[in-house]
Amino acid sequence: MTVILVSSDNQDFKVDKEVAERSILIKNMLEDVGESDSPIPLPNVTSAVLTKVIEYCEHHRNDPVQVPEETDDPRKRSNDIEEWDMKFMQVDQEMLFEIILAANYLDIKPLLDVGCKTVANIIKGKTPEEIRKAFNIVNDFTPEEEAQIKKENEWAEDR
Amino acid sequence: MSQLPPEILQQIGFHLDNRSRLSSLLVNRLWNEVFTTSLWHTISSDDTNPWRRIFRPANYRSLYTHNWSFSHDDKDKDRDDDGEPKEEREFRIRQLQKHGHLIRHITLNDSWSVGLLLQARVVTQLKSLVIFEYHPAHSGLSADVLTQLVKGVPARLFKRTGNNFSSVELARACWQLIVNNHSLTSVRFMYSTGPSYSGNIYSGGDDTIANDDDDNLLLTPTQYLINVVSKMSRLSHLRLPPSPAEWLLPALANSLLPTIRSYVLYNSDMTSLDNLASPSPSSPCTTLESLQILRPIRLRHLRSIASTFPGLKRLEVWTCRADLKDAHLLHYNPNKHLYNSTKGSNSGSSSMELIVHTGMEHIQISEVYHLLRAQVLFPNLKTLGPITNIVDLRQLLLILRSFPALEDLQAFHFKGQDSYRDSKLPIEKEPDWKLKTLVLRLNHFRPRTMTRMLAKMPFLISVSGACSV
Repeated sequence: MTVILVSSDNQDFKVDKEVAERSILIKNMLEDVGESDSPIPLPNVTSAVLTKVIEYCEHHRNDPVQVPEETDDPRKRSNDIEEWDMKFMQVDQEMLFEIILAANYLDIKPLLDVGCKTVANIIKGKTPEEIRKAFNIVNDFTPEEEAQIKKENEWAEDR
Repeated sequence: MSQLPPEILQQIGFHLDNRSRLSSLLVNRLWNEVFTTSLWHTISSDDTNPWRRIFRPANYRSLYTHNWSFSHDDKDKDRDDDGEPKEEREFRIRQLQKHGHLIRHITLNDSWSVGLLLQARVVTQLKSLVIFEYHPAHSGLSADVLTQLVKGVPARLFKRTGNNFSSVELARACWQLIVNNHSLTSVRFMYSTGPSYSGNIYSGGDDTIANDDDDNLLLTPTQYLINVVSKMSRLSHLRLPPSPAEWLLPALANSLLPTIRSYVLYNSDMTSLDNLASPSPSSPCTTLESLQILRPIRLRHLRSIASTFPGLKRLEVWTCRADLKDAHLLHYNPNKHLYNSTKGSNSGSSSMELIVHTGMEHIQISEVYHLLRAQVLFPNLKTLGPITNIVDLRQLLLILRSFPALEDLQAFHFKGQDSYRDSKLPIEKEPDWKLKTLVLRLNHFRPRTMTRMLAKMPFLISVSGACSV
């Protein structure tokens, strides 16, 4: 059985139901609607991003469904990314962020996790200035604020 | 350039180390807010950065080594400085007061950290709390401060003898921390060897202790604890000091604490286990999934645990022994199964009714033979070990036959001799076993019979162990 997903730029994507249901959002929608052939509009996702997301879901179509357990306990988290996912995530930053946002919107937890881990790996080992440069972020602190925050967190610096 | 919203930045923060979080919070205002949250989300008072500046006074080592050998001494109760400059402590308290509301998971490794956290009085949204056995005299708190901190927790929870003022008051203050954090999902009092063992300062569970306190509750300590725990709607992992852990066991068995899924029992005197399920409770507790018992238990307890907690998936027991009260079980010889071709018919004399526990998936017990003797069947058991004694090949075969769903078996001290008797084991008649992992450490089997056994394990993915040929 297949379903049709429609991207924000009105492109149709025909995918297996099993693949589409990697997205909890779509899964719930399908459950609510029941048997229906009507296409599912995804106004927040462009066709370029949706192509990538479907590629991910195709590859992981047989993964066991994650238990929706609350795992904000960092001890349980690992930063390992499996090889296929690592390659999959080798895209420009714009696309990386778009994929993360789409994963968040579509509720695809494993993809969101991989995206977040990828960004975390970019941040690691960088100084604040390097991070700003890497993500093109404007420093909106006043110099006084910045000095204050530095001072406040001095205790935490390794020495 | 699209920007990531705060909730996603927060997700990213969970994947970072503390040093990266510290860099990130200097990036801009949004990042500062988000990564300060993730920096304080999970903290531990051990030596890892960055928390040691908050939880470790400069003279920490001398503080502990110097006083380690002394007994509780009332002289110590008034020491509110441990040679630490006042502004240092104020700085620590200030940091905790500013960020305490962000803390969700905290591990406190000593009484000094416990005292510091209690004094800050700000931590109210904890999800998990781990307190290692503390040395009360080092709380860094004065008697005055302690007295203020304990209000609301009844004194009769504790034994008050002449010179244990500070240990009792600190333990009371810890309960205050639990009572004030309704969002807790996990509370663990960890035992480590030290001169103060806080299990000993709790009073008798059902005694009403003379009330010299301002609390008007007419509850026994046990009733008070049931009250506290049953009010915490999210609490699922509970590891209490030994005595309170025992007091709560009957309540747990009678389904009065339905949120608790994982429980640890020290079983210091076995009364609570002996009282369990005799007769079986009218409404067995189906919610408990994991039970850990950090003491040897008796053969009969295996039966009562199995009938009291049908929802149990995981059982960890140090070891299991038999005593006089187990005599009725000792006649049963599980080995008879091995040579008994007619399955199900039990020729053993004075056998008990078999208990079938379908939920159990993992058992760790050092005396696995007793597990079979207790006449409890675990048809869905998947893993056994890693600390399990299996004496010889006959026992290995017995285990494989008794637990048909077993996928993972690990054993220490396996000494399967390839004796004449063993080589006569009727292995050929056996069905294929589902075993995927087999680890036999410290073993001395010779390969002949073993090879025949392995041949009956088509699912085996990994097998390891020393083999002396």
